[in-house]
Amino acid sequence: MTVEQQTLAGPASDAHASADAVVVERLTAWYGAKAAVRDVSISFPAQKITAIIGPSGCGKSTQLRCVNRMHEVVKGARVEGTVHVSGEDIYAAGVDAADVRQRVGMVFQRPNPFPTMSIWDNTGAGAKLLGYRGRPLSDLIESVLKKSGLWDEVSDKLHAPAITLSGGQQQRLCIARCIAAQPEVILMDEPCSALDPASTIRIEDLMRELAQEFAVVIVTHNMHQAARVSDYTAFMLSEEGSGGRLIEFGDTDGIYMRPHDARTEAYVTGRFG
Amino acid sequence: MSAATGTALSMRSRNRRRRKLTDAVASGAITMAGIGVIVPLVVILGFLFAKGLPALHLSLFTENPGPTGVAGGGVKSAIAGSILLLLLALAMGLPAAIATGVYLAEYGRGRVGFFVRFLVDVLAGVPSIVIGIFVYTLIVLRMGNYSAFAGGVALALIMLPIVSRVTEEMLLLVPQMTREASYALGVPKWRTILTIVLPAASSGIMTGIVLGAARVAGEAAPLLFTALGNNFYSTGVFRPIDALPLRIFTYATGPFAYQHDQAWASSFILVMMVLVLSVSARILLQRRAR
Repeated sequence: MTVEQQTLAGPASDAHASADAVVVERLTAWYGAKAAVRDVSISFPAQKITAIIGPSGCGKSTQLRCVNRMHEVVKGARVEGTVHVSGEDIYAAGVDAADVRQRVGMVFQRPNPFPTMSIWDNTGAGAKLLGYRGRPLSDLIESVLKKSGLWDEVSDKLHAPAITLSGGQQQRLCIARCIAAQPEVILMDEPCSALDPASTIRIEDLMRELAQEFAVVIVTHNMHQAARVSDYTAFMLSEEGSGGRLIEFGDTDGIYMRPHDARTEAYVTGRFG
Repeated sequence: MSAATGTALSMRSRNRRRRKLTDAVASGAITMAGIGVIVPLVVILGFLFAKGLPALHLSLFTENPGPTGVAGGGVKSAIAGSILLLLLALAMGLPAAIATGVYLAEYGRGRVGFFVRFLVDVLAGVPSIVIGIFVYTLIVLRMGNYSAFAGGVALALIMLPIVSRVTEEMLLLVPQMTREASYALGVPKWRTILTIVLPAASSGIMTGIVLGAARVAGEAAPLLFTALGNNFYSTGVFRPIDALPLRIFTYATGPFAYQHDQAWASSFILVMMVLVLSVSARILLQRRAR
């Protein structure tokens, strides 16, 4: 409840910032002349799972992509407002988008392993391409594959092409690849929407484990999934195409059981969207 | 009621018969058109085998052209020359062509990109003999002599638009989500292109390279006043050099029967070279894919 009032009230106080991995302030994201996200202020706490829910076109994916500067990959896209990751303004002048993305990992809707690489090379790709130093790469690869629950299934075929894995396995491989790059925050953009129910359950279990270490932010159109896995839930809505706004944000139980806003209630009870 | 139904049914079956007939005629015509396209190729290959194979001797590969009018000799100098010219053209053309393709696919979205794409298309339409004259003026006149180098430049210019457009198209086939996967790991764009996008498109690009190489391997016109031709074996980059298409041109228009035979045999060798090139490239790629 305090989180909700605090973020809706305005900029986060310094006292609060220490527990938040990501602080978004007055963010408006544009595609050309069209705003996809309008004036959103929200914080994502460390070691918690925050779900962003809302109907199609409400700007929830765009909101997510602003946190690792993937939004600007699209031509004509730009951002107003600020995003702080661990207290650092990622849109400040002189900050390299590639560095930001190294710190804020992302898992996509469709599993996207590198098509020409083996399971092994995929897992280590981020670490390798970024000049990873430290413990041997093989240790890192083994540990992240174990963390993503894939090790037992692939340990005997690490050098097989990644695209020979099933969809669910590919997605877990992408999660392993993501954590091998040692991020601080993990963003997940509808990570289960292309997967079968059994794979979905495995990914959800994995999210809870990841939340022990990282701040996890997940965008989902599946309200039940948000209710199952998240600690906090943000509801976004774009009314009359004006760009997605944050309607309500709070702990997940509160959003589902005692929503303050009539629109939130209508959405979570399945009356629209 | 029953009469009306009967009429409707008979009309339906008549319609069906007409549709079946139309279908048979249409697929027959399309099949004939398909066969019609293959006919010239089969005839060409047939001629090559019929005329080229009997004239093929080991001495063609081991001996150089003899004095005009004296039967015998071979086309070793032309085979070596063609290989050297092709290597020069690839060495000079590929880096530029692939870089252009990468630019067009990954960076060239604005007005400059449009302009470059247009110019590449124009270059593809320039007749090869014009490219020969251009290189003659630019290189041969300045350097004061015909050379394999000048021939290589001319062939590289012909290859450039073919390979760069294929590279562009193949890069555009790599899904955006593959690029995003790399960006999201914090890999910069240039590194993503080099380590993720180019390898993913490599088999298509290789096909384009083979296509370009095959195209220039048979060019005679741009070599006429660049590489010039040479009756003697030479591997000097800055000296005139023989090439199979030039040798074929000389012998086919020559007065002696042995020259005509060697022209057919040379044509056969040229086609086989191109065939081996494309087949081996394919095998190489398939082995890598596995």
